[in-house]
Amino acid sequence: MDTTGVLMTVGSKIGDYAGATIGLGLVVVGAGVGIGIVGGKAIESMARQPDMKNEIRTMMFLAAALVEGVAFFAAVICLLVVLTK
Amino acid sequence: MSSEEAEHKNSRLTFSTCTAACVLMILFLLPTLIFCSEEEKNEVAATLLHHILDSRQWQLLPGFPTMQFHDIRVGPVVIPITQFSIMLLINMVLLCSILITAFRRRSVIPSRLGSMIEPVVFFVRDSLVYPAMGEETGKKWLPFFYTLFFFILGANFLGMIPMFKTSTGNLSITTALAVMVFVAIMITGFRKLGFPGFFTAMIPEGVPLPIALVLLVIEVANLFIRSGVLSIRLFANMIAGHMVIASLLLLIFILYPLAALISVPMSLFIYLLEVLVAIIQAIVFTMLSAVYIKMASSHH
Repeated sequence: MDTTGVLMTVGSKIGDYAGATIGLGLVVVGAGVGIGIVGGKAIESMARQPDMKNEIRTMMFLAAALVEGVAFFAAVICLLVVLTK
Repeated sequence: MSSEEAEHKNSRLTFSTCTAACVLMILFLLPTLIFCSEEEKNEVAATLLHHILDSRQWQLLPGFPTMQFHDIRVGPVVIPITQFSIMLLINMVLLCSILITAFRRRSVIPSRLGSMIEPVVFFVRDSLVYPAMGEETGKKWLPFFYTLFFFILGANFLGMIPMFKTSTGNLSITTALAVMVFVAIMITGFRKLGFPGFFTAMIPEGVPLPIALVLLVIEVANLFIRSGVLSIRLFANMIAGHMVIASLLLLIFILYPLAALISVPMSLFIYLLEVLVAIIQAIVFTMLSAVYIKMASSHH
């Protein structure tokens, strides 16, 4: 069975979509881990010092928005690959 | 009323307001199912792009007449009028009318509309601008940041209304905002530090020449990349919400009609998330602009 030939045929048909979707999945993993770390550290520090809750909450949203910005940036580029053949 | 009864009444009011809001938002989403034209059902990707991209024609809902806009030609200058230009105009008219009426009286005790907008203004001043820039420089930059914040907030919120488009969901408009911030950074830097001082301030003291050159290249690239990422972050956040809702609702046409049971509640949830994202993106844009402008005028 000619594995390379099969892979190349399949890849040439769905290569664009496969690359874009796998890339998008990796980006989502990165964003999830990043925002999870920020949220976890924020909750931990709010538990350590409850009177700083409001400032920590503001900083948490800011950091989460920055991480999400990078994720959306990559998502837009993946979508660009799919939508503009 | 005892405090227990007052609390019970308060929570019942909140519950009924929440259900009313959710019902209203589902009603916002349902017209897309009923008022979709026949071509849209067959061409899903084209419909998705059609709802998100700019064009010189505008059809509010299928069934309404299509409005066609023509370019304005003044001599050699051509100003094209598109859907997003009309949205910018609506944004400007709405913001100007609300903000000017709210603060027309200019007394210590604000009017009713003024006292609704005052906490937002104080939030921008005390949590976004003053912590980044300090009080003296912050005071001079306040009108710029107020304009930036309310423009982005107004544009993001106008996109939530079913028939309107989001002005900030266009890369050109967000790039225009980022270019304004970039010009502000350069002007502040050159004024405070002088033309050669702007570049020598990027390099720390006592650094050998090759490392200094590499640092210089990285810092200049940083200048351009930071403003570019500002624009792309705002654009991508605004576009992503609308794209996800449109995809979910168009999914109903692909798997007819089973997907409707999941699509409409998911769309409602993402719609609510979009409201949060609209507010957060305005805050993040303004805060980062303030931080960058402050960083440009200080020695590292």
